[in-house]
Amino acid sequence: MESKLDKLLSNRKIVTLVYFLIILLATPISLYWLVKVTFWIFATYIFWLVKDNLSNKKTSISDWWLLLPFSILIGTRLLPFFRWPVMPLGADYATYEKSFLICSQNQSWCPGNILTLVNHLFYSAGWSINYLVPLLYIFLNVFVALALYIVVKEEFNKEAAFFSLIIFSISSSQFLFYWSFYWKMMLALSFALIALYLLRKKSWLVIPIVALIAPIHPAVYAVFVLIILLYWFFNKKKRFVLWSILAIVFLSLAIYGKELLDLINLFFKNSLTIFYSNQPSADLSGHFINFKLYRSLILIYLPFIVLGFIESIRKKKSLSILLLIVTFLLVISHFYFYNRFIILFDIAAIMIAGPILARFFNQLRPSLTGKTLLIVLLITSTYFAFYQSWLAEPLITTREELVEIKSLNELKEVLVITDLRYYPIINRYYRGNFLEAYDPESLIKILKNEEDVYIYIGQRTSTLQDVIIKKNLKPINKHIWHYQK
Amino acid sequence: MILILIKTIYIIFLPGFLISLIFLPKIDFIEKAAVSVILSLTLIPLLLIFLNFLGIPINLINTLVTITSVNIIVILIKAGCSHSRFVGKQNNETRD
Repeated sequence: MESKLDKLLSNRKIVTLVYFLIILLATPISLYWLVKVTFWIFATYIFWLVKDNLSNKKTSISDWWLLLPFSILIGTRLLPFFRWPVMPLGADYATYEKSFLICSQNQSWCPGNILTLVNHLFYSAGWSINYLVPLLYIFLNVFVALALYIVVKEEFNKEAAFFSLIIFSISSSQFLFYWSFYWKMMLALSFALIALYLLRKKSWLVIPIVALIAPIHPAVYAVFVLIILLYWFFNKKKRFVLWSILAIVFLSLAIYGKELLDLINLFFKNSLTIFYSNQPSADLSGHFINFKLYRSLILIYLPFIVLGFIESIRKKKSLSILLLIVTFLLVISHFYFYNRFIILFDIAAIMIAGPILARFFNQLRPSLTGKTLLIVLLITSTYFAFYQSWLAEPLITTREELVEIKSLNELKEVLVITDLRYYPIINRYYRGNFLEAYDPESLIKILKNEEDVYIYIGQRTSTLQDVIIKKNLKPINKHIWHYQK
Repeated sequence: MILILIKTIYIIFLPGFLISLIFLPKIDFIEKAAVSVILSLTLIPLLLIFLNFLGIPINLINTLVTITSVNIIVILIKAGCSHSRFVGKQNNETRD
């Protein structure tokens, strides 16, 4: 079976056919024709340049060069904090801030909240909550990059690892993942990547690391357990992998058993709901960009991914290929949380694209034109990465809005919020009860039942002007309106 | 600030670093740094969970005592391994 595949992938015609077929299928149909054609020319050029594995020259990259991708990464991640100091990132920022505050006050451990323990270590080191939320999150993202580097170095080589890091630092989808503030997933991902590295090193330390992913982020845990299981299935001689997987499952069931079984049940229940619904809600799809948008975002490194895929199968780089295939199947088969698996798919794609980008670099480097092209590519992609970081807006935009929300605590009446995007911030700073009305009809219904209410209509809520006029709401300030029967 | 940095290294880096010296002795510095942080962030919480099951509450003092104990035990194991390797090497040389 394997030798047949080897023969197939050694055939240049078949490789060409497979490459262009995947490129055609992966190109988003809705893309503007000029962009589409430019992309196809770019993909053809890359194929022509790296198809024959001509360059066996290896560039020895000094560790100092790592400063380049890490500078881009830290720069793009810090920029939103300078632009929007009050609420720099997505919705979950305020949610985590609140949960960490609760954790710092009550340090008793419960299985559902392993973050309490991880945070507890940082509190023990003297970190205050104000620094812990932003700094630790940036640190985690940089740490994911570092973990990616050492995994690719172990799976391929140092050069490939460096270029994977370059792709990671300019990746638009990875920035969106960071911006969304998926704290738990970020922590789980850093654990999972180190676990892959330890698995390759045949170290038993992989067991506690993967087991602890279960209470942090069950979806990431499930994917990685499945990958390790498949890794063993395709490499049956590796008894170490089998014993590891058994120990991982045993340990994770011991620390998180009941919750894990409930989550498996929920996974299948929600997956069935998705299969029967035409347009699943964001809660079911995983609150992340869809696969169609994702394909548009990765056009710059898509040809490297496709070539890396063919190359990795040929060279039997099983861990990265398994991660790529498993996450791809989870995304396209629309299982529960399917959009969130795009993040893991992207990590696998970056892993396999690294060696091809390294080869592309080696082919172009000797000539002056090649050097110029490489510099232009790096500058353009860095510019776009910073531009995206500059454009990224938080869900609450002004310091003024935050002051208003904090002042709401002086009110004794019921508060109504009118946009889901304000929910985490109100939940974080407002101590009283509040109601939710995300469309005019729901707001009118609430106003019928309540005698005296305050309504928060933030800068991002634009559909309620009719209700304001119809129900004669009185402005208290720029965003708070009062209603009395 | 410096005190927080030293404490962070002691809690988040040192336990994992010492454990990696025993289990993964032949890896380069970047790999060791990454593995050390993750090992500290996983093994210490797991140990705290285990101690919690035994009735020892999770608080600042117990956490610091646990980390210090782990560090001392790992250093002793590492010293023991190095010593036995050294004695073995000397015995071989004497036999030669």
